[in-house]
Amino acid sequence: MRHDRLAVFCTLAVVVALTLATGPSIGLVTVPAGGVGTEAAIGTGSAIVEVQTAPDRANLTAGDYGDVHYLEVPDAQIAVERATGAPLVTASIDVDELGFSRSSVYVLRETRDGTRTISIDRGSLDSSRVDSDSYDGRYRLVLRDDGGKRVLYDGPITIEVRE
Amino acid sequence: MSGPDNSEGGGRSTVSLRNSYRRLGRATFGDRTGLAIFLGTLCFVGIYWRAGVFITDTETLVVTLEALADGHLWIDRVSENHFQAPGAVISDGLVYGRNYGQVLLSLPILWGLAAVERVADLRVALTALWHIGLLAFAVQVGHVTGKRRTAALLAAPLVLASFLLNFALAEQFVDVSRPLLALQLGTIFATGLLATTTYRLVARRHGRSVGRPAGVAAGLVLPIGFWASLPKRHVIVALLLVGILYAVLRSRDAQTAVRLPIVGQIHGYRALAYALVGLLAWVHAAEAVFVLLALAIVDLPTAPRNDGRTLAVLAIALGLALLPTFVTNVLISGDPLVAPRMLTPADSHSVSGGAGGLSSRISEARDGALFGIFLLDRLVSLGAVILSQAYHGLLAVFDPDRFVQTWFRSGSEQFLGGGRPEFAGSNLAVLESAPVLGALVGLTAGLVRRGGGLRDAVKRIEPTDALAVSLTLAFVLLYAAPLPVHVQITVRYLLPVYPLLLVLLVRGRIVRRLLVDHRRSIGWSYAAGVLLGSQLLLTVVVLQGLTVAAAVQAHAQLALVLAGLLAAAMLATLVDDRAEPIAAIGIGLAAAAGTAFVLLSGIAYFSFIGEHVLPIADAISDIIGRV
Repeated sequence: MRHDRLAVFCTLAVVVALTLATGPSIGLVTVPAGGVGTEAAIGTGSAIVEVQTAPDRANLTAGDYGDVHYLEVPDAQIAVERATGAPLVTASIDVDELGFSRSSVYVLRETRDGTRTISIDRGSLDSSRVDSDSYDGRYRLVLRDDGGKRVLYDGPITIEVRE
Repeated sequence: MSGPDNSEGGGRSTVSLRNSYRRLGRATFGDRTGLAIFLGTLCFVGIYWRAGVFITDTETLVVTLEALADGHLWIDRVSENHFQAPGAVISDGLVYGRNYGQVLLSLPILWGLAAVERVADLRVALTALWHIGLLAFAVQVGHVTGKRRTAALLAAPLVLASFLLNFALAEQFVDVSRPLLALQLGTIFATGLLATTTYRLVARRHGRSVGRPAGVAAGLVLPIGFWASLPKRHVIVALLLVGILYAVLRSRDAQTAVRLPIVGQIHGYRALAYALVGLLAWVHAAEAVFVLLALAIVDLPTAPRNDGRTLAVLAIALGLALLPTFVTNVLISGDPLVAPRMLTPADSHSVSGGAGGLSSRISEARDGALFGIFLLDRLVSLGAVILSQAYHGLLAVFDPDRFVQTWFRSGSEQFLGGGRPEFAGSNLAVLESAPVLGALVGLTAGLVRRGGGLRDAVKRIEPTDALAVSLTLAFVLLYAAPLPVHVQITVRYLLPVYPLLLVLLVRGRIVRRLLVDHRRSIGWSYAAGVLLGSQLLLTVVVLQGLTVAAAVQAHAQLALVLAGLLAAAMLATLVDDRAEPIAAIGIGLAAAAGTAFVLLSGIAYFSFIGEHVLPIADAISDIIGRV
């Protein structure tokens, strides 16, 4: 047999053999499952989380265009240690008088120990609902992991209206 | 293996089997070069093949294929929340899908995939298939170039190494729809055949040295590649049109006539052209009507004979090929001439009653009138629809804004509504999608300059040239009114027109001379453009953090510049032969810009859709995405 043909047939043989080896009935080689399936389900695992700073003041500013106000909440800082799996941290702000609430979700992966910044996206609300100089709201940080739901921080936050 | 093919006894059946394989191969690919172009195109498209739904329309096809696999045409029962993706229609309380011809062709592929999944992991099996295709490509290139040993010894270890790397990286598909993969494989094969048929068409007229680059360009340079693994009808329609051109070309060759019992001598290829139109109707009926008109207008006056018997054969060929369409139509709408598309859309709100407007009118008409009158009525109204479509198309063609937006410069601000938000602003014009078509400007100017010899020029026009023009016009008239539309990306409604324009392009004497005399300059500038240029572009896009739309617009601007330079260089060659090397480089770079867009859009810009079938492509696009 000529060398070139031998090379082609050997390559073909290896490709076909390896492919058949992944077959469910043979099962010599198991192809790892792909995507998020390989990672821990969100909200499971555990982590030691300590709140370093949490905002107690937020601004409600009138937008440049149209009748809209924007609520901007300063960031919180948390220290994460020994995270396993994919525990979840949610930050939320509720302003009952305005009927306004907003939250954001963070997944803590194993490799990312250290300080993390938790922010809440700017929220908009109709200017007609803003009729006072300041409002009282609550700011919460909640951890979800194998141990269930734990409140890390729950404190008042003052919303100041600026034109 | 030293083949003991012609040994005695049992060897004979092997020989005849081998011969029939060979005959089948000849009929499909023409020759080894055709096969190499087919395999090469498949491998190119496989690089950025993603198992994911790009446009919601595709969901209708997937569901339709699932229904066919279950053994019925309907996909859902009409209810409060029945299936509603674009193209699904309602008839008699059932929801039906679309493009039945295309979907049915994917059914055997679906069975094949199901069989493969029994014995191997699907991801690894498709990866293996790609690598076997690559190895076969290398072997064929070795045959064609006469360097079989070198090609095999070089390719085998590389293919093996690449397969092992991919094997190591492979993960199972997360959530893959097998019908989707089957539909994608169907259009990928169609892309390969389109490139091969383009090669055969051009090579038959002007030799392999012109046919080869034309075939390669059809698969790699034109935006055909962008839609190759996005299973919409466009690539299949493009393949059928090039097939029609090829059949008409062969039909003018007296030697291809076949003698049949009873019927006598007939032109098989001419009948094939009409049969292909019939098959097209199964995919998209309206396009088939326009294509039939465009074909008849050119074919009938230019054919060597139009006696009654010949016309009868053509009509029978068309009729037989239309049978599957008629059967599907009867099963769905109850009327052979009412395609599913003409029924009530499943997502319209006016149909809570169930019966669609048209279908109820049909049943009334059938109950009351004689069938003959009914058929006449249907034909008249079909004619009226065609005329009004053509009229609106004509009006739109002369709307300068639309004309420019469709053909030359896409408007990035307009037509953003609908579709996925990520697509906003990523619609290109024809020239932006295929800058190599800029060379047509030079050709047109060449024709004009020859002015005095206009009669000569007309004499040189062959039936296939006229047919390519008439088919192009048919599509322009059919789609000028709705265009520009969102989620066209590369003006996909006009996708079948790109290969036609390519075929017309290589009819230009100057282009053919460049392709033969300056093939090295073209080859090198193309390779440099693809290998270096696309990386450079990607670096700019990634470093500047451009959005999908901004990246696509950067490609558009680059394409326009290159198309402009190419057009200028082509014009210059009319004045001075010394401009030829520059024009050659212009062709290479403009072609490279087309390939770079297809490649980068698949690996980087639109990679958020689905997962790449090749594990290495997934890994690379992950890295790009993370930067």
